[in-house]
Amino acid sequence: MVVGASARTLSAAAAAAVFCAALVLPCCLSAQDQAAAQKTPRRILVSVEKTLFSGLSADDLGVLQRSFLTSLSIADGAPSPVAYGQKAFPSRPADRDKAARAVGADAWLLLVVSGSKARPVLRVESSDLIYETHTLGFTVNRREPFPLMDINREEWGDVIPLVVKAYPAMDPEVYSGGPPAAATLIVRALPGTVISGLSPKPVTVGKDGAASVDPPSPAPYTLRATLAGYVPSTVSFYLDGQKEIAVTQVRVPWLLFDLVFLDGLYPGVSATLASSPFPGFLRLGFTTFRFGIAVNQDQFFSSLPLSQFTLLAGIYLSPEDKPTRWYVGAGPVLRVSIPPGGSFTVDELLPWGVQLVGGVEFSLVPHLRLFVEHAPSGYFTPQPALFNAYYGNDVTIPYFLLGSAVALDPFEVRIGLRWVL
Amino acid sequence: MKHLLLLMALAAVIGCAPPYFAGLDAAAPLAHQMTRVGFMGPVSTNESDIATGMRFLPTRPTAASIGSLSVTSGFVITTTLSTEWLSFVYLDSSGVAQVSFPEIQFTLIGADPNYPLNEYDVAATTTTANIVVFTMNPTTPSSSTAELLRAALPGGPLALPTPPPTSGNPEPIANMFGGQAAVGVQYFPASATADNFNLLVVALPYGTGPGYAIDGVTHVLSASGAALPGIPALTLPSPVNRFLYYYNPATTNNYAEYNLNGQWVCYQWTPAAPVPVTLAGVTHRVDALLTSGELLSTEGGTLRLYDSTGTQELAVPMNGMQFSYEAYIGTTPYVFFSFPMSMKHGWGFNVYAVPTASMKSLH
Repeated sequence: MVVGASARTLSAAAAAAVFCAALVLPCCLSAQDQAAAQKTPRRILVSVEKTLFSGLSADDLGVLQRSFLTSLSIADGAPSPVAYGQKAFPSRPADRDKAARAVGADAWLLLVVSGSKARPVLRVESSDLIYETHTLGFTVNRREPFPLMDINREEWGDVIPLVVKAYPAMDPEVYSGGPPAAATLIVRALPGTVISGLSPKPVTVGKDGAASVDPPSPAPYTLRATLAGYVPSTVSFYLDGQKEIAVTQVRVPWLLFDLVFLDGLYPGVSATLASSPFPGFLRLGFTTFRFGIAVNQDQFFSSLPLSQFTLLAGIYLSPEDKPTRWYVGAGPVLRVSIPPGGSFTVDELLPWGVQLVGGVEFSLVPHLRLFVEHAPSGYFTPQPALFNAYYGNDVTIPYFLLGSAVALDPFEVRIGLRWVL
Repeated sequence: MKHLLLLMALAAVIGCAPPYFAGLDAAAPLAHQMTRVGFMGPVSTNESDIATGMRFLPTRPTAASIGSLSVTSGFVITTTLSTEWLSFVYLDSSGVAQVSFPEIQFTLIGADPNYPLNEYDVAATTTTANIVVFTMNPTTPSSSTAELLRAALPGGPLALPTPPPTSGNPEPIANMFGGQAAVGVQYFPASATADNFNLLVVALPYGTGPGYAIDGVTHVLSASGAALPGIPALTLPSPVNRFLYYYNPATTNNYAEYNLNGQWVCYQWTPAAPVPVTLAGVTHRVDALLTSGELLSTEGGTLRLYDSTGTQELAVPMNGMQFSYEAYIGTTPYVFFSFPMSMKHGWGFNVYAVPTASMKSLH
């Protein structure tokens, strides 16, 4: 198992290290070096990780990553490192390539530290996206511990020279047969779409459905296309002679259906009306307590002739195209029942309430999301004495009386599947 | 994904059935037409775990208006298979319901299922909560008794009056009327502070065979013991020793009802028209005569009202609601109901009231 370093700390530290190196490096260049600098340095995505039983802490790993990135940055002819800023490096090579392209790199390198602190083992894997070759794959068995507290004393002589050798700065012609030069690229998308990532300032697609940009080519790019009412699109590609690129855009879904399970797994359904371009939504939900699993009850199943309607006004905090989206909302709850021998009525004990909702949804497959919501609820009770008598002096989770007329359930949780039409 | 599974498991563990009383919702359509005047509970009597029925009769209110009325004490009747237990319950200074022991026991042995063996009539409150328990022996009317019990307010206990009646407590009703046996009894509110108890009595020895009649010696006594005019001989089809009896002092209407082979038969007469006539429309057990002159029935869990001629005015399901009594709040008569709910720590009772004049508009 590979465990990543603290992403935020590492990426910030790595960026600082690269920045310092960039300041120092020009002063150290000799004339010969400057001649060499005419060549285009490679850009490599670097992830330093550790195995679970390496004995290294997250802080140790941070020190090692900074040390490695700094050493690589100042090495003659070495590729420019870009620290991988997420928790764990993708396991599939294709995903690693994608991650490298996403940051404009043309190679990636994974350094995994295992063994022990006293006798570390380094495993290096690297791949070249330009030549589409697996350039490095070797293991180094260190016979002495890391001098972790002193980065300057850390030595990477058994790794970095091999990386430099594998990724020499290239003549521009090597990239595509010609020097890097501005090339006109037509981006085709819906009129009004804002394209960013290809030029210093975003450009807007005209009424003819095209936007013209002149990015240097060859080079890797990641463009982002945003248009109100449409899911933002992100496209990574290597620009090398193409004249056009088309962006596929999908309308923001306006209707979603939920299959949801509340608390002790009481089933429910809900329909969401999403507004666009505003990332808000209105959700009408229905949950029945007629069939439920309540594992902490005297019996495994629970059945009450009670149901509740919820109306939720919410807003997504994350963009539509993110695989994980957070949202918050609030709205009223109405409890209704059809008691035995009685007719449809609003519940007497807790007729209505207000729910606050904080949720997160995960894209499983296209059009299907898994979601979890925490929905602390406060219910108004017109009969607080009865409610109090119901629970007596027990400290009964989850409901308790707040003030003289509010029954609070702070632990209400909903889990379900969301079908995006 | 594993985090989600953990969350689901956690939700299932902490999740539980929500607070809900199905019965409360079932009675809601009727309750919404009334004023909820209080709640008593949770009450746990010695026998509440084995109870086959629970009733709550609030202490007669002394409030001048329905808005200022609050229920702070009352009587709980716990019914078991063979016994009824009468308890006085009250809210202590912290608002917690307490049972004031001891409980008073009344047997149900020998009860006729068509009639209440023990009639619990809450009397007007002065400085004590008062209840009169009539035990109407269905086979031997001469053994019927009346017992007055009092509880000092606010917390009881329930005790015999001091000094006790000279003829004992419980007191044989026959002792009160010169050897005449009571076959029916009625509580009737006279005002906010006074009640009438009217009895249908027969002279001893009374008939036991076919053709037994309420004859000329049968007469009705007011609470003061003054004899009301008797009625002509009324031949009954078979032995009847028990009646439900009601007298309206405003109209002088008398009603006597009995059950024969599962059928209720109700007679009505007045001193001015003393020949009893059958009210064919009254086919259910009558539980009270209201000050409005209407007859109230709760037989089978259905609330029915009949006008003074026996025409049914109302029939609505009570869904667990129980009739308590009629009482004056100030100068306005109200009909009181209670609704029992079994809960984890005992029983709770919601108390409702509706102006007598509005009873016929219930639906």
